[in-house]
Amino acid sequence: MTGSLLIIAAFMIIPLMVGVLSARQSQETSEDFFVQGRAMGSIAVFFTVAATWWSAFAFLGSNATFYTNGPVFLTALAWNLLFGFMYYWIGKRVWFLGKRFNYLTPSDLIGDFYNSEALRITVAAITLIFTVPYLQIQLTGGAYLIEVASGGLIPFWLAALLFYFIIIIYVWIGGIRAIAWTDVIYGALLFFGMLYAGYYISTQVGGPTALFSQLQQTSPDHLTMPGPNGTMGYPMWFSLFAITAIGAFMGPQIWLRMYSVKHGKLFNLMPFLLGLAAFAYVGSVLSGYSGVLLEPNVANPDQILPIMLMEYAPYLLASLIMAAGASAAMSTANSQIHAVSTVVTMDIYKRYVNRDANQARIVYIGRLSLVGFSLAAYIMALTVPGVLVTIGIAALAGTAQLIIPTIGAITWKKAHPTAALAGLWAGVACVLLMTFGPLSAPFGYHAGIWGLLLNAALFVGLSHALHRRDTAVVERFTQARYDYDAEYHPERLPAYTQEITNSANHQ
Amino acid sequence: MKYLTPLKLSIYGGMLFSFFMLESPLIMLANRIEPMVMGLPFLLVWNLFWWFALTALFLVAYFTNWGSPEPSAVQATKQL
Repeated sequence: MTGSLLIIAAFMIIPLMVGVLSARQSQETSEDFFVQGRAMGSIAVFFTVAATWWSAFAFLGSNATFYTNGPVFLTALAWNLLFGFMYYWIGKRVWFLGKRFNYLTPSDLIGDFYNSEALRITVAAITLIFTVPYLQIQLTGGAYLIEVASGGLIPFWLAALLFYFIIIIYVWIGGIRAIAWTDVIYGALLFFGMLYAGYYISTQVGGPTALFSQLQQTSPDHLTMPGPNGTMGYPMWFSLFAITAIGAFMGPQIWLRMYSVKHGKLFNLMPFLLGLAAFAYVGSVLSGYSGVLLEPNVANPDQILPIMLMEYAPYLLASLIMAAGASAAMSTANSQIHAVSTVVTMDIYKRYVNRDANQARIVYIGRLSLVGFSLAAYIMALTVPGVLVTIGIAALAGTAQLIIPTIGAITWKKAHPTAALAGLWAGVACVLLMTFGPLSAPFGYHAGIWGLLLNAALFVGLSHALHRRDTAVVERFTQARYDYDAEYHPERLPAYTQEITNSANHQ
Repeated sequence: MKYLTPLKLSIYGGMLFSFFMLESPLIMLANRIEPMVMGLPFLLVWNLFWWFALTALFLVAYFTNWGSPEPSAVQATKQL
């Protein structure tokens, strides 16, 4: 027990030390606090993106899904690849525009391109409303793991409170730099923890080959879709793939990790690195399926991994792996708390409350927002029950709606603000009505998919029907896109000449 | 489409094909346990195979600048 408490203590103290060290390099400017002066290097970018993207949803939710619903979570291999691809294709363009026009938040880019205050407020509201529930599941998952690892000595409420204090302290002093540095440790722990936990637990049933052989005999439904409950067929396979990748990618915490990058070349490598890291899900396959054989009657499937670790692994090893799981939660929670505080500070305080705020004041408000949102998430973790994957997907379906106006802003000069606004509202309303309201999502696809379809249809249709009058803004972005292509995709430059010729002929 | 280099077209085509094999309804053809490969169910092997193919393609994309000419190469061509 003493050893486990020491591991937990190390898990709590190391991030604080890293935060203090990173704070030595910090400057009291908003750009440094929120996006590390747009100078984050390759190792930090990879680890902070990967650790932020991988959460309690990945560490606990994946095991729980294999355990209860069969193989549908295998689609995670593909959604990691999609996330990586988007980080290159969309992220690099967002980074370029962010650097050119000094953006810090999603609203900055979307609001600036569409030249619309209503859209700016809508985007800020979506990022805040749908990020907080996702933040809550991180605290819930992480605190639960600490509670189990300590053998109940640290109760859930105290574990969540410790999470809350530690995150606040190191983000308060070090901003995104402290988060990125701690994420290097968290990311490595998470990757190896997931893989080793799966391998170790599967040895309890004779290893991976014996595991699948026994499953085929005793519970073959677990090895094919739609799974043992008959509910997780192809529609959910595709829904999880699209919603998880797009929803997480559009979270404000990932936007900050696009703006923070130092060199554009790094985006070219990220799809490979993020794709490679997805191999860790093999660990979840093994541990989730081992649970079917070893512990078939666990009431709360989110607890299957900690329960098996405590039952079958040496206590110290179990604690270490659970600390890795808590890392998954912590590394996402810290980034989300920091990101929502950025949105509140820049999109609400700086824009509507105090336009003349100096740098020190902005950073101070950012820090106060950290405390406020952490407190909200803590209260939710104590009071709102829920299954990790269910809450997670609903929250991701909301942020996923931002992908439509974002792609419009980075690629399409005809994209119209009214179209973007109508699409967003309709998409979010569709998600809410189908998730919490009287409507049910047709054909088994998740509400988020229907929201995206409606959003895209309205966006494209209305943009074709309406015409923008703010030509100066459109031209400013066209010039930026031209400069981007000139630097990174010179083979596309003739397209601009063709566009000008077509436009002249049309007139 | 006409502004894509052949290399870029091949890379993006390969990626699209791999995603299609993983995420289109075609996946239901691989939704089976047998034949097991090295003791692993077929659906898992199918996913691991296409995951590996796509990850390798991302590495090829990185080494070839995602099919776009390097800016230095373009400048050199202009100077010529």
